Amino acid sequence: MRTSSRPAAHIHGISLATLVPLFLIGLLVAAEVAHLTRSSSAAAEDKFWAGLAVEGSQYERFDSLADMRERASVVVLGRFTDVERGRVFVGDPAAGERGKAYYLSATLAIEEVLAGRPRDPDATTLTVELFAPNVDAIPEVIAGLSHERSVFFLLNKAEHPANERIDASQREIEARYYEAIGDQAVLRDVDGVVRPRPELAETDPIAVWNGKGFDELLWTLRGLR
Amino acid sequence: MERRSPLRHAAMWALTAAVVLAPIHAATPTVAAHSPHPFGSNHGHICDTTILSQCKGWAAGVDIALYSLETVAPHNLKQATRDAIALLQPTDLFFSEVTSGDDIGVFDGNYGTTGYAAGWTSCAVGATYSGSEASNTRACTPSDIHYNYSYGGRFDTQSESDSIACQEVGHSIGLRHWQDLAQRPNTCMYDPPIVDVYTQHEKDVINANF
Repeated sequence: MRTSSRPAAHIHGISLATLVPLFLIGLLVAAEVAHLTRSSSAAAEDKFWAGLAVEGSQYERFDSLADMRERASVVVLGRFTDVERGRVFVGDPAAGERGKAYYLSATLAIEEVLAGRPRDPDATTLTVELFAPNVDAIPEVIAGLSHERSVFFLLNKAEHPANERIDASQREIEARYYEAIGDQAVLRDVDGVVRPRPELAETDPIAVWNGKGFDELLWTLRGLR
Repeated sequence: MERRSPLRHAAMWALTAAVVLAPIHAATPTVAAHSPHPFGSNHGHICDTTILSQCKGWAAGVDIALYSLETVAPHNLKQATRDAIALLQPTDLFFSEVTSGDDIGVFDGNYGTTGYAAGWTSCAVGATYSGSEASNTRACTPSDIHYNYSYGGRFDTQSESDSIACQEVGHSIGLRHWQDLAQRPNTCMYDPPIVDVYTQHEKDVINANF
């Protein structure tokens, strides 16, 4: 008995029965590649900040974004473009390398000033001094610089309470640098979601922002101008 | 010969793709919102990854050197460090004060504005590393404690100096910050510290691991 069947649909000689699943597989592969790229990049960014984590006692901690805004000279949306070895402070001259504190100098490209103002109102970049507690990790930290778009709560070092009694020439040097006001003071944009520095405790008051929309954070900060 | 339906054909291709791609996706390292274990912060011992991370892996003896620490209040960090060590007794962990060849070196000075660290513990320059980052067991020896007088406001009174010394000595043997605000009056491991005591829980875990 002869079986009749409709001819299968074709595009350029290739049947739809082949094209459709190939198209779906292509979509799946593309999504998987994007996922792998994002996960790998996010892990690398976490590692950069983890390399700068300080295990110690902070000068002060803040209970809210408003409190951090009060302490900061300027709140900036931007990203690091470059980092290099920076200053070395000799705290204990008799202790050799173990008596020193090492810093990195990072260039922060400003996307938007959210609150406060930089010392130079026309500045498009700021120099952020990053304390590097684990000296042996410095090359790896430099190589893994985070380029994430982030909110930074920064204090100009000339305005730092610790530098109240320095002389004018030293103050001029300190004025070139900014520092983040602790481990609460960097809030990262990871796929549109707020992520604090990885070492920030989940019970920290600022950690309530973890997982919230990054745009919501920006709107809130603009309201604190 | 019966032709396979296009729908069934497509379903088989999709299933094949899912079977191939699922293991790749599962093997992708996911990024934790919070990594509890900063790189290089295991100061000479293996730490677990719980929030109240307590550490194990050292022998019970620790050589600690108090290099050139100030001895005048409110900066008597030499006595504050000795007091913190005494507070960890009685436990299975014992410290010996040495003048060189330490497991932990303690230093003070003006180290600049270190992103708000009034005191910190870290791996010493040229330390020997062990463990692995992948398993969250990265360790180093020797390690250093630094008291930073650039944040002089945190050392205005001897009790403040004592609380910082208590926390840094705790860090040096692997204790992490308590994250429960209710514990702040009971332990110097809540940051910033306001007391110079350790909880019995911290001593129990030291005994369980050393």
